Amino acid sequence: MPETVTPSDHDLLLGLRDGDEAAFTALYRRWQGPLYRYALRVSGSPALAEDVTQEVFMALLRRNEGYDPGRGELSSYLHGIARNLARRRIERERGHLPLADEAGPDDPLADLVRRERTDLVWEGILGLPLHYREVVVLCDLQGLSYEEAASAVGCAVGTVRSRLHRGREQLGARLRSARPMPAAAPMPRMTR
Amino acid sequence: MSCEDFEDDVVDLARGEELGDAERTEALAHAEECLRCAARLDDERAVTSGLRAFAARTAGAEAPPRVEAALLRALRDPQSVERGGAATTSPSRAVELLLLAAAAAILAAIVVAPPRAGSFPEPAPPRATAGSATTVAGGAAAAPAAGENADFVSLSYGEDLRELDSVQVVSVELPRTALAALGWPGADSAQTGSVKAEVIVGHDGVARAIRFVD
Repeated sequence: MPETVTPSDHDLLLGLRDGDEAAFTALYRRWQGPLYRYALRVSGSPALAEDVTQEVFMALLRRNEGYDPGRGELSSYLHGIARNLARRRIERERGHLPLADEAGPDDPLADLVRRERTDLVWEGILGLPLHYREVVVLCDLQGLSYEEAASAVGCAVGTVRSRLHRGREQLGARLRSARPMPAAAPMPRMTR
Repeated sequence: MSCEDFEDDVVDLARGEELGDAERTEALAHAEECLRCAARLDDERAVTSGLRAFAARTAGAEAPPRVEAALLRALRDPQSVERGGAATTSPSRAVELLLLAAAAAILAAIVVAPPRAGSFPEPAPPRATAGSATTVAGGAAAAPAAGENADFVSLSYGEDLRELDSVQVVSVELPRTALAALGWPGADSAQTGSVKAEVIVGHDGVARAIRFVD
């Protein structure tokens, strides 16, 4: 029985350069979820997340050649585009972002967002200064390494570490002032 | 390890990542001896646990299927990609843009006609609304007419403008890029300049219909 090989991002990008629709679909389905979630988590707005997701892939269609595998993973490249687009929209529409309340009553995602927006953690994240919020979302929610986040944000790894540190510190303070913190897992006893 | 060194490591320690075994062991040993640093570690662990729970709860969020469909349409029409036109605009984004345009119109108040009731031209059926933005981006639909005799195009479904108590007709200028963002037929986001339009605004300040006059 032949072994099924999952094409790499690089292979799919090469296919996309040749106009291969299947390659684009595979690439889209692989990355739309993470990119949508990034924009949603950093903005709190499903409408913004939808627009950003679409614009990231439109950018990929327009300038596929812009990605250089030698400079980092596709994940960082796509998150970098999403980060720039989301940042531009958030800064432009500060205080006017459409939230889930504007979505239809039968939209399950809107229900999820409405529920989660009452969550202190998300409120705390959305209350962080944008440069801290981006790094907390990239590293702690999207699972990017410091190097990947640095590549997406376009800064040094040390800057990512420092922003993450400050962002989490502020988030912790907000959570502590809002409610008792959830019990953390017991600290493991280390043996030498 | 000093408390200062511990502070440098506490986030990595709480996240359980990016820290070598030796440094981790040393940091944990310090926390066992220092109450303040132990409390700091507990705080960071609570933040980690809150973030991970939130990440898990939102892990299923994905873009709606209309985004993939719109992108595939764009892929099949490379010229639209070259033009940089958005394949679709989310419904609430389109509504938001319209409301912003209406708000700008009211603030600008370039020309305000006296309030009148029922004397404006009957609007055409909705042709370019938030919900239909996705269908017009490909340019398949005919562009609405412009000029003095152009019909007003309703901006909302299911509302009879004749039932409004009073309205104002406001003349505005919109950047042509705003039309493309709204998915207006024939609009191109690469176009520059502005276009004149008249907007019917209800007494509540909400834009109800629009027509382009040049």
